[in-house]
Amino acid sequence: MRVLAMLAVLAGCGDNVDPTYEPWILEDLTPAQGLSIRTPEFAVPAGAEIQDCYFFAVPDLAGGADLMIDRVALALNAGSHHMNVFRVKTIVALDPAAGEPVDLGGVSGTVIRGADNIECWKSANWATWPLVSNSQQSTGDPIVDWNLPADVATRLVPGEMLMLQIHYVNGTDQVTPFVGRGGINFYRSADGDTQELGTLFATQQSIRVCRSNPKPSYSGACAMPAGTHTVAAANGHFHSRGERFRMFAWDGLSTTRPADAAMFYDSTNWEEPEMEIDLDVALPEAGGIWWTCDYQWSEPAGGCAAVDARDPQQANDCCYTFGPTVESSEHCNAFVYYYPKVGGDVTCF
Amino acid sequence: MLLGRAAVLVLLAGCPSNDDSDACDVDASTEMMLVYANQLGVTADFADGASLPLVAAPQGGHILLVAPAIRVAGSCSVQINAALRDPASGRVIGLEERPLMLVAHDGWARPPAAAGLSDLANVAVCPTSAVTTPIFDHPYQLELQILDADGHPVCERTAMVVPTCDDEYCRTDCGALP
Repeated sequence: MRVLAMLAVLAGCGDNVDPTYEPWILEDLTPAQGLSIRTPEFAVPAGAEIQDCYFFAVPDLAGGADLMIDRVALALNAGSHHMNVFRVKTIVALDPAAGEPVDLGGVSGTVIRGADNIECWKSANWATWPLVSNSQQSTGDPIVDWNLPADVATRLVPGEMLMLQIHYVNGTDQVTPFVGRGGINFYRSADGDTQELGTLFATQQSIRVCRSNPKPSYSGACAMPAGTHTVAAANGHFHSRGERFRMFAWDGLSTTRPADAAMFYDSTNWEEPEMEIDLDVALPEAGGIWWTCDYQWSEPAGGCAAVDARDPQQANDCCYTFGPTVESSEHCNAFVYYYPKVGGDVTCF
Repeated sequence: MLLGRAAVLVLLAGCPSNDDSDACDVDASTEMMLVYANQLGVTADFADGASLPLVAAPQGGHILLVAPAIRVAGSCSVQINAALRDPASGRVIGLEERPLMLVAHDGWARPPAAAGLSDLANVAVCPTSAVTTPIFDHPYQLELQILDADGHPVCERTAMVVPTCDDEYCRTDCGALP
């Protein structure tokens, strides 16, 4: 792992810089090494949740050839809820061309800020956009540095549009002590990897965590394409009512939860869910994954009004329902990285 | 699209009572029907061989909305498991486990007549990597289980169903994978 030194001194941010602020540092890659993406720093005021959608085209670094990426480093300042990178496919209402120009560390792009445009918050807009990479770790070690398994690489096509979505929270459930900022290094493979990394994104869309049913559990199963596949990395995602997130290798046939021996991911950390890298989980032939989210309802710090207001059923039962805002909604999302990729990436929702 | 209300009365063997006071008191004599909802949230009972509408889900994809109706007194809750299986390969195409609140109505506990998405199981079936043929207009086996407090299935009802599409978006989303 190549985590560079953390610097205690931040230059160029004015006189009000907290002396304890320690920004992450990723090395700047040459084109021969790969692609570096850096978001600008941005303030996250107290009480705010900020979600911004940055778009950029994969630059041509290899004379028109696809870029094979066998190492990814993702870095986040403390307070981040998530940073996800997707391949832009069908454009519904979140159009990169409608964004404001932005420099992403030497790569030109555009940004659509969620504060200005609600479409950056609406997951239906990226429903058909396959996952490339993600991180939810910003406190402690703010860098996830993943060397993909031997002979495995992520394919990036020059000119293809990617979206880097970053979400910061400075509220009751999660705190951003300094400023928001994210960055990624995609390192080019130099050893002729032959297997392509695939991604699986699965979600439970219609969850409810209610006062009257305070300990609900939701599970789903997601089938892989025919053939055998190996899980190389995974992480789960829910909000502060989430108590336990589990993923299992699943045979694709059974309708009962797999035995604990088949569990490859188990997290009770909603705020900084671990990205489990270096997994080597062989899924059953024609199988897939099973995931389970367990919740414990809790009284919202600001009362139930905001939670009740967004309940599509208007049950007035202080129900947290599916949605992106950490303080007032819930998620149950599984991110899984596997190989070899056969056909397209996998989505289950 | 409403199907006729076809009672599917099934004697369920071996269903234990649940200790939770809000949980449905299901036992061996409990009668069970299968219920679906359409895109508008209108619910109806269905029987073996029924056509079920594929419903566009909020974040994308298409789901089947299904739930049990059980002959018990009063409103109560159950944990259910619902799955759609390809009878040719045996593979499960979509599966979900969730808690449901069933509402008392005419001696049954069932999803409300005007249901929200979370009033029924959301069986995500499109897109899927489990089959290479279109989902719509083909028969699949629907399996619905009531689970005990430990997550073990204690009652099960199955029916062959034919998922259907009402629009081109659905037919594209639920078509054959390349």
